[in-house]
Amino acid sequence: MDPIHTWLDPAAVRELADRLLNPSPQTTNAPTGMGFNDSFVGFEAEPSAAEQATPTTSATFSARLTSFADWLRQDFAATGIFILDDEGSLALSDGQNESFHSLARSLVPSRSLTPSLNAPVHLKIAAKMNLVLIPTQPTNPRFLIAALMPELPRPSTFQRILENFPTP
Amino acid sequence: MTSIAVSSQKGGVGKTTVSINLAHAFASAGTKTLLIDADPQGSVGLSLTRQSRLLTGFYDYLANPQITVEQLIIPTRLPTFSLMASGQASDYESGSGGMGAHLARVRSLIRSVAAQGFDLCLIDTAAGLFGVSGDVISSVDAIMIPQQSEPLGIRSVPKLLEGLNRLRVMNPRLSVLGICLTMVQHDLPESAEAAAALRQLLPPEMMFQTQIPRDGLFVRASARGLPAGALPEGAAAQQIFQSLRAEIETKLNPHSNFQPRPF
Repeated sequence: MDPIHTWLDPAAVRELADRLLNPSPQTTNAPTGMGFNDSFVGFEAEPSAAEQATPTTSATFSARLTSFADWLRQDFAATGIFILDDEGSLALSDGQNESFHSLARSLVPSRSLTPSLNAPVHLKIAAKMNLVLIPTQPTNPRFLIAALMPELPRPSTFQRILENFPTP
Repeated sequence: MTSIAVSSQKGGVGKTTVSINLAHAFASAGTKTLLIDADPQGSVGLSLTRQSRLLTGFYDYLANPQITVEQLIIPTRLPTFSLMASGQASDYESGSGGMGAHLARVRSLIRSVAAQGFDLCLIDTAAGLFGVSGDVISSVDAIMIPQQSEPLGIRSVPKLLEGLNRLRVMNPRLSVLGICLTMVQHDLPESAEAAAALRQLLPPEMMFQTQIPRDGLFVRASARGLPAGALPEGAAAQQIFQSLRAEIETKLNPHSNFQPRPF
């Protein structure tokens, strides 16, 4: 019996390997975001100006997302807030932090935003700094809420955040 | 300075054997080399220094900002070869802490090692691509992956590649030097077939041509606290690791004309 090929998808493996052999897209773009570059020592400063919402998001919903982000800042000392839609596009972002956007897409890819994946994901970035990723409830369309928080939210907090997320 | 992590998804694939002997090969060729033991099990230290459990090392540096790199460097009889032990820190056994928890400190360590004048910093990580190992991979210039030449291990390669693609988000400049087949047994059909299948599966650039045989010499060398190439009967092992060294140099500097010696 073939010891390898019957156990995996050769085309998918090859694609993963090819991606690793090519320069990362992030190294070819100007690294304007804060990200994980050589000077990374954790986050101290507030992110800069807000990005535009995607054209597909309605102005009303966009305004509600902005209010939601304000609430996250105020109640949870959250910074670097961004929200991805189910295509992986930015519905809202506090700043040009492309590294975190890519990381969020990588950890919770849009195709994985299925009813089976409801659990929040967190990543410790530095002392007192966690990247928290919260998929919204499995309704259409789904969103991924992402924020930098000094403390890990409790389960009840996740529930509050999801309840306060505006409906499109 | 170039920093290289020796890492794998799976344990028991020969990371420490590769790390020790590769570091020795670089040092023997005149490259000022520091081998860091970032495995909480302290395998490098246990292989090369009897007092390793008493030494302050890598995990102590992560835990205590007062510790400096200079305090941790252990010279060897080869002037170009130095070691840093795993250490005694309280989370030493588990290497605990979430991904990213030690990123800034690991990067500080690598910068400090460069400032000490080393040409190469080789880091032997614990198995897995998460926790402290993930932070090391997110900080180094390049990674090489030892992979045991047997079917079960090779079936884990997709997970390994997925993990590395994820870590590249945190370290976009990470150069993937490739996978080095270890514990190859030509007299065992399953081992030879697994090696051939992996070479067929992956792009040639992803595979080192040099491969490491399963050989009692490595066990004998570890028992004596020496790299295999330093044993009187270690000439063949030394040649293999010099070939691996030269392949790495070619990958890091593609304009050189090195042709790897076939195994």
